[in-house]
Amino acid sequence: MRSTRIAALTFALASLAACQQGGNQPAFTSADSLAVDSVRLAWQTAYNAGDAAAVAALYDSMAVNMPGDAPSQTGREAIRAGIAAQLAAMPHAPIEIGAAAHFNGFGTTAIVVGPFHVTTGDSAHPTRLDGKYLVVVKRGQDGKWRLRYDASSFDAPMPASPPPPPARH
Amino acid sequence: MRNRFLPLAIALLASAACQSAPKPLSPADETAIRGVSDAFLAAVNSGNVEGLMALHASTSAVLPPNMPTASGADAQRQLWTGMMSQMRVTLTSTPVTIAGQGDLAYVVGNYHVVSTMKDTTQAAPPPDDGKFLNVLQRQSDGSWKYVAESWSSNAEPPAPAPPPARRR
Repeated sequence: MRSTRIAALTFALASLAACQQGGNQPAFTSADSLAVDSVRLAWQTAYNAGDAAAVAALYDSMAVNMPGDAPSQTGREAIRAGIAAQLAAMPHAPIEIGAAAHFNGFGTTAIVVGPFHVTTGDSAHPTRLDGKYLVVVKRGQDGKWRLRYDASSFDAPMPASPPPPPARH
Repeated sequence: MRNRFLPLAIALLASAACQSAPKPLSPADETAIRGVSDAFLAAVNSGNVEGLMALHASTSAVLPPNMPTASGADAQRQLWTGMMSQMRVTLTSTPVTIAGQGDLAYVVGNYHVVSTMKDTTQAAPPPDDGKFLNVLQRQSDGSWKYVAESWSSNAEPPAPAPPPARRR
């Protein structure tokens, strides 16, 4: 009986030591990977439906969206407004977000790198704009995975808005 | 006898605590990561391509704005060499957040860069302010290296110059 207690105590101490060294982090499961990937698909669906609020709901309350050639947007409301402005500036420009090209998961944090493209113009003259994203996705206390940081940029300079026409005198 | 199951309970609690509480970065990790950021700035500001390469894991991805992703060493050497062959830069950065768990960390912050062209007959791009998101992973030797790096300007692209006015 005494040896059992000593063995249990030894296991307890070994567990604590491993914990201290970070050797027993929560496993990142295939279910976690699927849940993280579902955020990508939900983002694409919400954006293509023109639903900025649904896109913003995929970010956590501390999230920062970091679009190319624009200041960061911090918090869901700022992100919603930024997405709404983007949808207004580029209407009828569906996005396709590619699956992860690089993926790292650890504990309640996942890092995903992947491609995306936006199609602009009409069906007779579509223009494909390629880009890429790097996101940090966090699992919240409720078990849901949400975007914490979202950095994206296009692969080519965006065509700038034409200058305003000269004023007539 | 009353404490018969105490060691077992401690063992189970220790194991459960480990499973449910991911370990955040230690102060030593944070110091090491700041060291990588400082080395990155030093390498950029001295035009040291190999110094930059040494800070990136072999499987890393660099996501520059307005350019395709550079994955792996060959593409990244080409990217850094291309950037540094044309201009000298003075880059400063301010990390706002350093966070992570276990072997994975990310740094979020802002940068300011001033560029001068090596060919002084060419116009340098204007000073730029932007933001960055860098991800690092602890390597098997304990060092931290970049596995993903992204940055972009806060400024809208400049509008094209208006066509020259016609003279009568």
